[in-house]
Amino acid sequence: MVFSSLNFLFLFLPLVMLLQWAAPEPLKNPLLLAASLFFYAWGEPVYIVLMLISVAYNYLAGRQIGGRRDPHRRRAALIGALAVNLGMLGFFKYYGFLVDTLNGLFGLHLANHALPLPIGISFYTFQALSYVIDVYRGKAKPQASLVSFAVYITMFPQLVAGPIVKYTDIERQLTDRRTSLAQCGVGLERVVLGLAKKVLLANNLGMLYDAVCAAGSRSVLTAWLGAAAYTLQIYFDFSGYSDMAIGMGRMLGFSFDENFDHPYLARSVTEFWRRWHISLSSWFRDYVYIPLGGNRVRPARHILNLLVVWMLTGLWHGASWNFVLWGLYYGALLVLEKYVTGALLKRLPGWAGRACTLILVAVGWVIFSNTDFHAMRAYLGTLFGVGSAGFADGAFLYYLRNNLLLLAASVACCGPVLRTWQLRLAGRRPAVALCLCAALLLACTAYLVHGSYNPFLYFRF
Amino acid sequence: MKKKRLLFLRGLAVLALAAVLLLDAGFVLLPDRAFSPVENRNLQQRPAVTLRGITSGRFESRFESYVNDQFPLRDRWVALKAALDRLMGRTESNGVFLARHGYLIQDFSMPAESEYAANLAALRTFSERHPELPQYLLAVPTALSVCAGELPAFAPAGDEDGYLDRLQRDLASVPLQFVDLRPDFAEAGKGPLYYRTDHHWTSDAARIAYLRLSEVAGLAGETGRFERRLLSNRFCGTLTAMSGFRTGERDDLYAYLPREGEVRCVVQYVDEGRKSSSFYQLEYLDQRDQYAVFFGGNHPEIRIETAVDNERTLLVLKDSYANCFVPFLAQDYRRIVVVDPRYFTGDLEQLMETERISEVLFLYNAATLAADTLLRQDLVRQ
Repeated sequence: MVFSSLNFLFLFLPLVMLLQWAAPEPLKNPLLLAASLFFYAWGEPVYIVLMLISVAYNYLAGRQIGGRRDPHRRRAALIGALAVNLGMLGFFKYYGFLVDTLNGLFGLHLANHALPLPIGISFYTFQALSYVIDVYRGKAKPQASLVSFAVYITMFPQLVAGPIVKYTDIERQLTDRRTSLAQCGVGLERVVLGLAKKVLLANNLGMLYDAVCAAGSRSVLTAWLGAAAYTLQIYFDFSGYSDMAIGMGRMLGFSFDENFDHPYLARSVTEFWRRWHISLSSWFRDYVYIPLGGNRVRPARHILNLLVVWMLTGLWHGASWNFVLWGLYYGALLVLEKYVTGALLKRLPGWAGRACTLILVAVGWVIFSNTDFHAMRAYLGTLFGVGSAGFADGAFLYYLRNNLLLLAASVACCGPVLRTWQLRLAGRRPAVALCLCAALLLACTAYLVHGSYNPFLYFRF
Repeated sequence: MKKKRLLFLRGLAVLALAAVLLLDAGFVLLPDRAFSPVENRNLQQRPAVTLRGITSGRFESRFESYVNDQFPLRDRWVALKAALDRLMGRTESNGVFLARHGYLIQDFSMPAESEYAANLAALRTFSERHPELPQYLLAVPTALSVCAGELPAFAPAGDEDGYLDRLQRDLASVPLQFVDLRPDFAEAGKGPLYYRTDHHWTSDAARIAYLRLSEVAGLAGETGRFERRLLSNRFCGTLTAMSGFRTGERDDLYAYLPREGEVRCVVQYVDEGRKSSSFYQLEYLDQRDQYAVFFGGNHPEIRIETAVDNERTLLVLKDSYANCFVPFLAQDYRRIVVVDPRYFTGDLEQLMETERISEVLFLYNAATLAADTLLRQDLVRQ
């Protein structure tokens, strides 16, 4: 099930919320677990078995690691858990990719029985890993209740597209959480804003990017317009999803950390990654980058660390070489910023740093969005005038005119200004703020009922 | 937390719950609709629960469509979405351009090279198999190329003209004669050639095409036995439904009806086993798709016997553009067999033999001809 569908918003969510409020304390977790399993099974019931195996295995692994004193045995149990989790992720996500790559490199004809990707496997595997590693490090106590642990892994708000919640962050809330009507309101406000980002902005921006990509030839400006549209689309798509997840978590009594912090206001690529998909980058920082030595090593080793982490980050986003390239692109940019351009960037005025960062990020998204290398090369070429149909053309004016308001609204929503206004309005004129929320909800419903174009970019992961 | 903020938060929670429950009540209590006249399509009904359906995911996706299609006040929501689109300055929706002077114009999508080649090869094979028969291809340009001036400025429309040019070139060496209507349409100033809200051509455009074909095929070349009559001023075509634009606007629908006793015929709907003495089914004027007034829409096979005293028998392979065109031919052919390959399942060669076909006419609009994959299957079936 996806959040931006009528059956989720009008049937599943209200039913689950009413049950959660009405249920007595001991039934809350079992009900939430049942709801989450139903949510996952909807549309793809088979892989629920895989997720349940993962839950049961990691539950046992946590108890095993936590219950042992002997460091060697603890270590062995941890390595076992890492191998099983990464093995499962590797098999279901990367097997087909590996076979294709080997076939391509060596001209082999290995049979490719790649399975369809189990939804959310990258997210729930990473959550499970954070749990077993934190138990091993002594930061978390092993969870005694299988149901509570299963709720942590499968909880429907963050199950299929994050944010990646660390076990230590919600350990207490798994057994003790309170809600009130006002807390529900706080959550709902986030859900409405997230839904609007997704349905009103991201979906419409996506249609613009698709139209630009579908055109046989494009001018330089059209190509940049398309890249801008995709840059905005992926932000509103993913951050809208995160907003909804955080909001629904709040309605249930959980508080998840923020996943985005106005990333397109960043003045450097380093800062961009501190603001974008924060739960993923901090996961890699805590469980890969710092264990590798982080930046407290010789520069050569530091550069290697960065590149390894960013290659893995890229690969995490999808089993395709363009994601690896995209990861390495960021690895290289971060190394450059650290050792070469960083000092220069600091001396630039803020707007110039922002502009440079945005251009680099937009180019990155073009790499990210094209799994086909020929299409990617062609698109990147037209951005810089290679193989383009001139600098500007009629199509550019047409797309600009058709999407001017949408683009303007999207750009405005990239900063914190609108959110500040909205908060101030809700604090001073609650009736007006309510009408605003109602209008957004009406508009979203209208687009969902019409429902022609509604993809989730982050569902591949 | 401040008092007013608290008021807002609680208000939001209560309001949202009330709205959801109200709409859900509507969803449960209101009867399901089978058909949406506004969108001109069948709506999804409640899917049956089966284990197979659930494990394959088919049940779930149908259930989602069911919720969407039967959502309370669906038509209002669709209209609201279109209104928001227009408010945002959109001039395109679902492959339909919001053009000037009230026109809605469907985009043309160039067929993939392999598709084009397959269709061309089928036309050539068929044509060369029957060198003795006169064959004509009326590939009717759509409003997209004829009314290009009405499109929004710089609209990146498909190259329908280029497609027709190429087809004409590629067919130059076979007996099949490409009849180009574009010069005639460019000259025709009087009367609209296309409906504003529908993708079809008007009867006036069909008449111009008939006159052009008359010169090529040696037909009567005049339409004095028909009378131009207004059948409806409330026609709201399929492009409105597709795009959601201009849902309030209506077209005039004219037809050329035979004058009293002038063009007599028997129309036989083969698959339906029904006969009629008229080309028109006026009961469709009470329905949404009023263009179906011509022959009652598309049929796999129609046989028309006329009172014409000659031995000419014509096979028409066609899409819906032919429906308002074929009546003109009833003054020229003894018998007309109209086949719509999209629904026809018989053997074309056998049909041509038993009906002793002496001429063949392909009549398609450029968009359907480019996108069609079924005509070629009938043409080259062994």
